[in-house]
Amino acid sequence: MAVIDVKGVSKTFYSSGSILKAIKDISLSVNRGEFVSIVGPSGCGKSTLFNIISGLQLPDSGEIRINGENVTGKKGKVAYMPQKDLLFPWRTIIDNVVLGSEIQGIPVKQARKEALNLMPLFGLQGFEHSYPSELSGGMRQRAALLRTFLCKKDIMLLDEPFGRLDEITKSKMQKWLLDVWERFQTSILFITHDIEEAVFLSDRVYVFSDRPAVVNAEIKVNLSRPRSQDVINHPEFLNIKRRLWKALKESI
Amino acid sequence: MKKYFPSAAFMAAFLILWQFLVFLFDVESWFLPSPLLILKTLVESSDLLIHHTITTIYETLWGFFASVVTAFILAVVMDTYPTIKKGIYPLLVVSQTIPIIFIAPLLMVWFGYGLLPKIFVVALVCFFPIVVSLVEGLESVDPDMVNLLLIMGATKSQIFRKVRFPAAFPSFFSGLKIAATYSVMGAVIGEWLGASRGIGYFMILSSKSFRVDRVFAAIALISFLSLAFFGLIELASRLAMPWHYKNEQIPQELYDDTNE
Repeated sequence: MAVIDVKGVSKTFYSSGSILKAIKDISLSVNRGEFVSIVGPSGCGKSTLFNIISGLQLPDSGEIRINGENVTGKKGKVAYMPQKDLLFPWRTIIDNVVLGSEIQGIPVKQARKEALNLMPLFGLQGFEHSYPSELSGGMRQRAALLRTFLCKKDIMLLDEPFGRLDEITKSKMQKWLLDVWERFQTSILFITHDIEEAVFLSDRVYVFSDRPAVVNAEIKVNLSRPRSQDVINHPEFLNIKRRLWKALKESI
Repeated sequence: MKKYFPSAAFMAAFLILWQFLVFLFDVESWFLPSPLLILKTLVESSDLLIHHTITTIYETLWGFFASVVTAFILAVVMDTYPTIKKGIYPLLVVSQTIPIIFIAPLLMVWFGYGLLPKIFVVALVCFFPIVVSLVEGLESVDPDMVNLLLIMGATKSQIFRKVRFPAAFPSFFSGLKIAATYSVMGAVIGEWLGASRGIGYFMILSSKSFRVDRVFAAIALISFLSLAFFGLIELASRLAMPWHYKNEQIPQELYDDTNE
């Protein structure tokens, strides 16, 4: 069953006489416990789609359904992680990660307890009471992910979360994200422009075209899980990568 | 502490030169007293000075406090209602072009010769830097942080309390520091124009009786008070924003263990 259903969503921006068609008739879905990625050329309107899904913007047409309920334009329905970690510099790590619970009015004490238990899994033990400025890029990203995770929503939107990390940290983070995802059976919609990252992480990949973005292809990733780093040399991996490349090239 | 060493050294050199020149040219003390004489006067008239200083401190603290409270309320109102901000903000800037020295006598006319007009002068002097720093601080928040909270379903008041206000802290405190350095001077100006107590009053009396050493002693005291007040705000800022002063990032390789 689909956790999230995006149905025929279009959005055009009008600003001072110019018309910018961002996305056109986008339909996609994520099933429960599924890891789905969106790849597309940069500036293709992926973030517009995320803004619409998260309720920050209204689509011109189409609707967003979460667990069958129409949530178009409603906020507070998804857990969102942007590319910037956006950790609040004035809060310690533990206070940062319980932010979602605080906003939802869940007793903070309980949220803190749960967060403390998860610190080791997120590689943050010993840094609970540090400030974000004292942490490395990878750790900050993990803290941001823990914050997203603790929002306890049915679907997590991750917007190029590793886009700013160096290759080695990035690959560690991908492996680790898969561990966390497998363990908690969450549903993830992941934006990236890194094809290899999309194949390595996902069950399915949507390819977006250049602006106005349409869904150009939907490719299933039939690679067994759990996946290790070696999977990138698997013939099927290379095959899917090739197909994604082809779809991307056609879309530009 | 180390970073103040060069300026302390320059100050010491200046004072020694001053002392030496006064001695060399045998300058009369009613014309220009030597630093040592000023120090001696400070000690000798300490009873008298303490009496006046207490009044000045009292005016300064009340004025500063009143200023912080009004500035805070006005900044929040301006931040919540952009129309009010558009209307008032330019006027605030214009108000700063009116010399305080001409407003102070009017305050005497309106509020008499008591402490109130002095407190008012201090509040007026402090108000502008505080309100501007607070408004700018509230504006400076990262819009993506606000969006993040919106997506979480936060209310307007939650957004103010959890992001915009804390984000304004660094700017707010720099405004407070500027205001703190002005505040003592504001009180002294108020006293200068008509008072029966306070350092400003003491200066007037001293200069009329050609006790230039006492005038300098008062100046030294004003500087000291301003610096002390500035230091107090700096301390408060460190207590209120420990995160702002902690910037040492631990190198990645020393703790990153995600691959284990």
